[in-house]
Amino acid sequence: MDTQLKKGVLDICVLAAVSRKDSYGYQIIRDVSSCVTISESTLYPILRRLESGGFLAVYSVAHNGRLRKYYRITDTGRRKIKDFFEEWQDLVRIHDFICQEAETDE
Amino acid sequence: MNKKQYFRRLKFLLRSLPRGEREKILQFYREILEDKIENGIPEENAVNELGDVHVLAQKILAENPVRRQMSPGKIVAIVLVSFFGVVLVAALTAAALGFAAYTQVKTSATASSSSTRDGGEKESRTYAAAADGVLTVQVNAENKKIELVSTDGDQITAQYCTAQDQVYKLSNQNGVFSVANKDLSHGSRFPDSWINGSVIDPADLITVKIPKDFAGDITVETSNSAIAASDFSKLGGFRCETSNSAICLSGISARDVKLESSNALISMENISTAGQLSARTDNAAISLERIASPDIKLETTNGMIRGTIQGRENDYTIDADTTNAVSNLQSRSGGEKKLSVHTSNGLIHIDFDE
Repeated sequence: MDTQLKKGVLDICVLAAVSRKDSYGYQIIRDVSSCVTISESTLYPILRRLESGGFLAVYSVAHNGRLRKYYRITDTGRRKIKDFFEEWQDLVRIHDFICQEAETDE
Repeated sequence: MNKKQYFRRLKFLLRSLPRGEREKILQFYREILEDKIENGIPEENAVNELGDVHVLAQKILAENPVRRQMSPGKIVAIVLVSFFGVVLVAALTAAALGFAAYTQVKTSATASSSSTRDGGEKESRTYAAAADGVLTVQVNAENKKIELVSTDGDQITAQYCTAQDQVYKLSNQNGVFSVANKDLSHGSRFPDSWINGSVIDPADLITVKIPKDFAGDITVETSNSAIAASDFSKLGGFRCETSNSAICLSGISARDVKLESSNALISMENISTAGQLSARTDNAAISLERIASPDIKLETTNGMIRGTIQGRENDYTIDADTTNAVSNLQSRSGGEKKLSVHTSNGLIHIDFDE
């Protein structure tokens, strides 16, 4: 998939992955990987971006004698998912336009 | 490459990043690695999945941002992290007390057995050598609390406890008394004190007894466990490095002292050095009580730095700053001695006793 397009969508995937239940790094990777490949080094900047943008809140929980960082979606984060669905309608229109134009070209 | 080597290399490659940022990044990858191992992926494979360490470092460096303004979400996170820091310190203090009780019972025994929490057998062992001729005491452990105890004798003694998944290597050659431990449990046996709060398992501890007037160097490296030392009157270089755990020192006179930890307190009481005294941690406080040094460097994030320094404020050229909190130190030049104090989101309060 085109990297620019993927980049925008991945942010939403990560938000979606924590939207039902607070989650942590490895779990997010596993959940998101079921639809699109994501590596640790891709996830880190996304989480940092979402955190600094106020879309995610972070807290630590002791797990097996170490700390594990959990991510919780904020109201702003939920709004971002909603915005995505609205933007998606625009994308569908763009998609339709591309299909139509591409067809007339042939 | 095992995980320790991988992260040591990664830490080195990311050395140009601000320390706080670098620790956060390392913690992130470490956490995922531990989670993978916990999910049954062998350590070697889990490490390999991270890819070539140089490639990863380059990627991280390429996307490393300039420091940003704090978002409210981040402040909440910091408060939470600090809270856990306090909980950890409390747990460790309790663990230390628990241990004190343990040593008092065991001092006369050289070897004794008890059963481990996983049912396996473990045995306490002692390794001793004459201090004469030893230039350096070196401890290199994993997930072990390290206690350095001063004695009136002229021997250096290491006490430790064997267990199934622990490898120890002790030696005394070419002037180096060395205690090395590898924890093969892959993190499945983190210190008990983390889990049940108060009692430290003897297998999670190494005690090194060293003559009070030992004049050589001491280097201690461990992880996820505390380092404690007290009462040494003329050490050379003294270096301690751990992670996620406190470093507590008292009554030490040395040529220079260098302390590094993360997510936990560094506490120093009656410490004096002829050269530099430096202490660095993250997300936790640095506390000092009557320290004396011509060159003091204190650095943390999200924690306060407070205490007393011997001497007069005017003797020091001061470089101090914090963000989102107050400092009672004014940066100033003209002093013969150097004092550098840096934190963020934490108070700085340092008094001079003259």
